[in-house]
Amino acid sequence: MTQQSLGEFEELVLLMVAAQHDEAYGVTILEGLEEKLKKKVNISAVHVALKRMEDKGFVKSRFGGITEDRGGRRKKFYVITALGKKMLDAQYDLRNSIYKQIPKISFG
Amino acid sequence: MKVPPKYPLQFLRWFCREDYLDEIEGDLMEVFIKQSESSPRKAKWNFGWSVIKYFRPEFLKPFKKTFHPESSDMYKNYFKVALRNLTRHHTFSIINIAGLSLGITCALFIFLIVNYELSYDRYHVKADRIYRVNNGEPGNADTGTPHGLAEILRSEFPEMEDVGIIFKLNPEQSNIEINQELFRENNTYFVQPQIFKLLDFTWLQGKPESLTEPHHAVVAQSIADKYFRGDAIGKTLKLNNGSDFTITGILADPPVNSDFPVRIVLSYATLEKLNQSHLNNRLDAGSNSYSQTLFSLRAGIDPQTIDTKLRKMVERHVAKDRQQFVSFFIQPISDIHFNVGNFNQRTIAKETISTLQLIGLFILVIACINFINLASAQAIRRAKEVGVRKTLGGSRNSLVFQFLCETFLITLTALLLAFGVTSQVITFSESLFSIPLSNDALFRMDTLLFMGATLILVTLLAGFYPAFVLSGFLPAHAMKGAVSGIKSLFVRKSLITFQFLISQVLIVCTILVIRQTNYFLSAPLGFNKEAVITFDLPNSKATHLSTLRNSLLTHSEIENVSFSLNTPSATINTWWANLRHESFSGDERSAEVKYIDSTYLSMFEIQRVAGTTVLPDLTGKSIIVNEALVKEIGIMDPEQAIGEKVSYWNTDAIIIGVVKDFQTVTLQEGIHPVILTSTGYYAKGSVKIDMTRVTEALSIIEKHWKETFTGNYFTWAFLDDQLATFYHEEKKIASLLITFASIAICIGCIGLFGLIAFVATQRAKEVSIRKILGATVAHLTAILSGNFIKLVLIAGMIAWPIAYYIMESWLQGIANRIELLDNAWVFVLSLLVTVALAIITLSTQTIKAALENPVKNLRSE
Repeated sequence: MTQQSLGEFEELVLLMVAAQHDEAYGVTILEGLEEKLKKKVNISAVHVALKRMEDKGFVKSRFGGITEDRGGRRKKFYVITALGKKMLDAQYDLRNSIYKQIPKISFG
Repeated sequence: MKVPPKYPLQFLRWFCREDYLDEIEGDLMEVFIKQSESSPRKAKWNFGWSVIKYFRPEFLKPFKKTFHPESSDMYKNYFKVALRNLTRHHTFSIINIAGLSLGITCALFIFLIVNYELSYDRYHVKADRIYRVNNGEPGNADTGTPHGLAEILRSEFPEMEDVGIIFKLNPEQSNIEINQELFRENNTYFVQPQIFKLLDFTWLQGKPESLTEPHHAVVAQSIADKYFRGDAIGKTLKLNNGSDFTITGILADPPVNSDFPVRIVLSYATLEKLNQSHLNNRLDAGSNSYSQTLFSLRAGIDPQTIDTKLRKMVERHVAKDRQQFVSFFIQPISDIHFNVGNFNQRTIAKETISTLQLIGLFILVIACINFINLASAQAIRRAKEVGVRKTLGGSRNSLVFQFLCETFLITLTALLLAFGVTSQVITFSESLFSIPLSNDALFRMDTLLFMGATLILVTLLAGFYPAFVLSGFLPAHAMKGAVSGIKSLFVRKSLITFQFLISQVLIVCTILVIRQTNYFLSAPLGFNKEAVITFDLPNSKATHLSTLRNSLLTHSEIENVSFSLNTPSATINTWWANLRHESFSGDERSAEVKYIDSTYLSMFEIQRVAGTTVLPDLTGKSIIVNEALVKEIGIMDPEQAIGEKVSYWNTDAIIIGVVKDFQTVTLQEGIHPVILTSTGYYAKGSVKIDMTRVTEALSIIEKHWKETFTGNYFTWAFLDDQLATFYHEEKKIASLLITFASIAICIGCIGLFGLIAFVATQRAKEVSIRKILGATVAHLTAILSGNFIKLVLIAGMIAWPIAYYIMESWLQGIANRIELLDNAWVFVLSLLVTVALAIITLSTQTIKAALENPVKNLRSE
């Protein structure tokens, strides 16, 4: 079984897939990330993350129809799986719980 | 339109997994299009960069199937099916392989021969800038140059690195005496030490510098072993009963492909010291063809400038009135193998080489045609397979590839077979064609490359058409067995015609070359060559000669004795003089000068035309000439030429007699003007003997010769044998042609055999039905083979003019030639022979088919 781990960039991509439910494919994810992160992201990084997460079972994919503007190439849409959602939840909970333990510190 | 950069995209498609490609390429395109709206350049750059970033393991195609996914199993299948087909139709496989390997053997052999001939003197390090200076004009040149030329070249041509003279002695002068024993060593040379800076020789002992001293000699290893048991240094050898030479060095024997096959090298300084008469320093002096001047050009100098400078040199050194008769030109050393006058006496014309190459190519083509014909005839058998493969998704390309694979397999087998055969027969090439080839040549890189190229060429040439036909079948038709063969039938017929066309051209040419060679050997020469024995004369002292003559004539076996410069036809001691006559108005012509004695004309039966045949004195001032000379000086009636004054060299002479023309040079050339006179100088003795008592006559001659010329080396030869050696080259061509023509016709017949075997089984039912309805065996045979015979006849008709044209151009340069129209029967004969061979080949199958019991073929349907 693949190890259940999620890298930082992977987590961002997974969040984006979840957010763009059923409409997410390479380019939309890329644009979403660039908008939120306010920096350039290379499309290949997105694809690498997607492939890895697909292997781990966090996302699943399906092919869309052929459109003209992509040189006749099909889109591949990604949907988050139950496992992926659980992973995001677990990650969120983990961070939240640790965050809550932070004592009140005042910085100046 | 926004187009992404081509090469990154191609690269992506090449490495990327098929199942990811849609997504990745599509996304890349989308990003690219969006980006290029703002900045197209940046978009392109980005595209390429992204593609490179994709080049990582998880996106790569699986390695094993990088180029043709899932195809290695198909290759296995192709080869399996090919092997099955080869073994199932083993007759056709054998025919195919036999024909192809014969063809490839021929091509390989010709490649080796041509390569060998072209390799002459290419092995010298400076080979590409060594030249020989020739005397005269290209086309009418003498390979020898006057002695003084080398010195002038050294002092006046800074472009020349080294200049050297190499002078080969005539056979009768190449007698050496070692420990009081006489031997003849044909490759004895006087050489200047500079020659060793030009040509590559391996010095086993000694140094080239030792040859600057007179009376020094260097011998080849073979000579050292033969006469001195390897220990030659410091030993002495004597040349022709004359000067002594001390051996100061040993050379390795030069390779066979050298036109400088030296065995004994004598220092040229000896000649200079003895100051022999031929060492004339004047550039317009006559020269010995075997005294040749070589030089190396400094790197980077245009050789053409040398010819111009040579002309200026002549202007500086030759008196004004003689300049028009003197000229020199240079010839690259790689070229001298193809002209008469190299020391090896083994020349081959460049035309012969290209003819051989052409023949090799044609034979290969004939062999390929066999394959094409058989394969396309058998296409029907493979139709079902093609149909099934196409239905299951086999593309036309993959089918073409499959059939090419099969051809490749067959060609490879044939090639290996040819290689084996060649390695076995190669040793016979020396005795068959006098070309010394060895097995080493087979394993050289260029030979292996040639074989690789042949493999590919034959595979494509032989395999392409059948593959094209087979893969073109429509699956539905192929499965039903309804493949029409009309188109391929026409192609097949033309191919057969072409095959037999080439075979017949070759046959006609072969027979005509043989006829011409035989004509050379039997043509009337204008003098008697039968029953004449010739020998060399070491000197022409009158006392010696009269003793020899008188003692010989006391025997009844000896009919006549004559002393002369040379025999009527000769290739050595042919002396050419500049001829002058008042009718030339200051111009000069050339004439051959022959020194004869009083019995010469009667013994060789040269006919008198006018005047007398008795030469009164030995001054050379009274001359007998031939009719050609009379014509040359513009006199029609020989009688009127008597008393005419001419001059040759610097002698003023009077014509006292005219004889009929006779052949003085090889028959390739015509009749030249000839001067016959006496000076008392003789080099050749000729004796007419009684042919019924040859052995006795020979021993008598030997005995008296040795008594007269004690301490000299005796050899003899029959004149007619000697004359026959002039035509070695023609004989060699003839024997090569015979071999290759027979192989060509053989391959053609093999192909015909395969085709008729196939046709006979195809038409078995038809033949059976005809037989039941009453056709005779003869009739059936005719029906089956008629078509093929027609093709052979057509081929013959086309072959005639082609062969005529080829032979006409070959014969053009030959003065004494056969006439093609007199030999029309050769053309007819070659056609008849080919038809006969075709009929024999065909009948082996057709008669068998016609004799078969009809029940056998009609029983099952």
